[in-house]
Amino acid sequence: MGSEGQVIAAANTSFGGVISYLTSGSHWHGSTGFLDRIIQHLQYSAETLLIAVAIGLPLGLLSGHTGRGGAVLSMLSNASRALPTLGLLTLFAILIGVGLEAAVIPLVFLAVPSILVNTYVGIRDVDRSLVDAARGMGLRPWQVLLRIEIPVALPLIVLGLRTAALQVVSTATIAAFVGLGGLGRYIIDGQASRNFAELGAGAILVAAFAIATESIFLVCQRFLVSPGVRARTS
Amino acid sequence: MRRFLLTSTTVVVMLTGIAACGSSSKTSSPPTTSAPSNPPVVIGSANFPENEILADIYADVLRAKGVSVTTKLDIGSREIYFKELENGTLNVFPEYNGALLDYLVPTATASTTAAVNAALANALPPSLEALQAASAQDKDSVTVTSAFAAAHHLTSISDLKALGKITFGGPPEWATREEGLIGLERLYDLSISFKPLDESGPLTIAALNDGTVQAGDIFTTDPSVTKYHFVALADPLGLFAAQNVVPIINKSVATATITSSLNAVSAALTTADLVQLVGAVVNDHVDASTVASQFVTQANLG
Repeated sequence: MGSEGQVIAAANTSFGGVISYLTSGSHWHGSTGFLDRIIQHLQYSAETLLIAVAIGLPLGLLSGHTGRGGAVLSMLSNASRALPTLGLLTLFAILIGVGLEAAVIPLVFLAVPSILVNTYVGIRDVDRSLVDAARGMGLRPWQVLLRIEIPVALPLIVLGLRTAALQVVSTATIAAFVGLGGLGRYIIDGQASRNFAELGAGAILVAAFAIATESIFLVCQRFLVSPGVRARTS
Repeated sequence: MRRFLLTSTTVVVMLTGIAACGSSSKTSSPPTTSAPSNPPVVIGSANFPENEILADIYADVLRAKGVSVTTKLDIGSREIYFKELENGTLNVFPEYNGALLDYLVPTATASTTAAVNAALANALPPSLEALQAASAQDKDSVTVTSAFAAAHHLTSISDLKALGKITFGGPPEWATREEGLIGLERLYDLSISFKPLDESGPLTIAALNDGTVQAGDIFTTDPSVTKYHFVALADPLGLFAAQNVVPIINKSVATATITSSLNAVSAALTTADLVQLVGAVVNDHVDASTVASQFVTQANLG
């Protein structure tokens, strides 16, 4: 009984330590403060996501629209999901040097598959009679893609982006592994110096960041997806 | 017919068993009679190449003196092997004076080799004894590339001060440690821009080689030192505690022959030797026991 009480007390004090670390004003400002680190984290994540979208989205649209290469692309992306991100990070840090590129490339590997596969499947799954009707009305292939296929596939495409963004935001912590900033800094430094309040604060901020990202994408989805399509898919 | 086969097999098995017993008792007797004064010794090692090489060196040297030696290499952690050493399951172990002192007395502050040795002698349990420590040390160091050292005439950490702000790579915990940035800034008055990477690992090595950092924390006997011609800067103010190689022996086997043989190894072994030996195993993939016996022959310890 007594030891159980002690354990709970210890858990409370350490959680209290995390909260006081989070709420202390001095931890929010300066070059190692939360605000700067959150901006860095946002920067790494946004950069990664832009590159991943630039690769995944056109490939997914093209293969989905033409129906070619989809199987190969899906296989490649699914295989790349099995690559350990931390291993890739170390590999690129050794190959191209310790820097932002070494952190962004593995994150791109992580983000591309869900964007690409969701886009491909979304476009492929558009009702063929809808596409045929559009063609029959004289729409050109790119018009079919822009006016029919993309709007109908949008729920799945946005879902792919949302999954990718969530993965990137929560994994961008690895940038700290190669000496960069971001919220991972608190987790890695806290663990290395046994400062568990710092570690816990970092973990909570990353979780909050991930929840915020998820919410933003849910709102986007609400505004982007046409009401008719939304009603059908939900 | 079947029964005959069974009985004959049984007889054969029994006979071979007896023969085996006879032959084994014959072969095991000579060592005990030829070296009656020295008990058999079990030498252990931790699970990294350098420590295994050291255990192999101790084993070779003792075998040359006619001591019957068995080795138990690759033991995971100090928590495990130190207990076995204390209770006599293991008898001899290559240790590092600073790290062992830190394990026994976590609050210890001794830094020089002499101070660490004295503190260690007091801290060891009664069944154990630290023999003579080697000059060879495996410890944290401020390391630069040979090109950088040559360009700025660097031999000691103090020389870095003239360069102004330097970029430094090391493990994340160095940011808040006395044996890290705090000490480098306080003792050597350096101005450092710190890049948290790893402790003497692939990231720090890569960052040193491509110039991302100008100096980094590399262990003094790390195989990268020979591979990339790194230069470990001297630490005249003793920021990093001594980590001399020292044989720890259980007193139950501490005969004159055994202690003097192990002390002879310590007298011969330098950090440069250790760098070469570890480099041969890790970079050139030579077997640890081969590397050890070559060293014993070269240093005339056998």
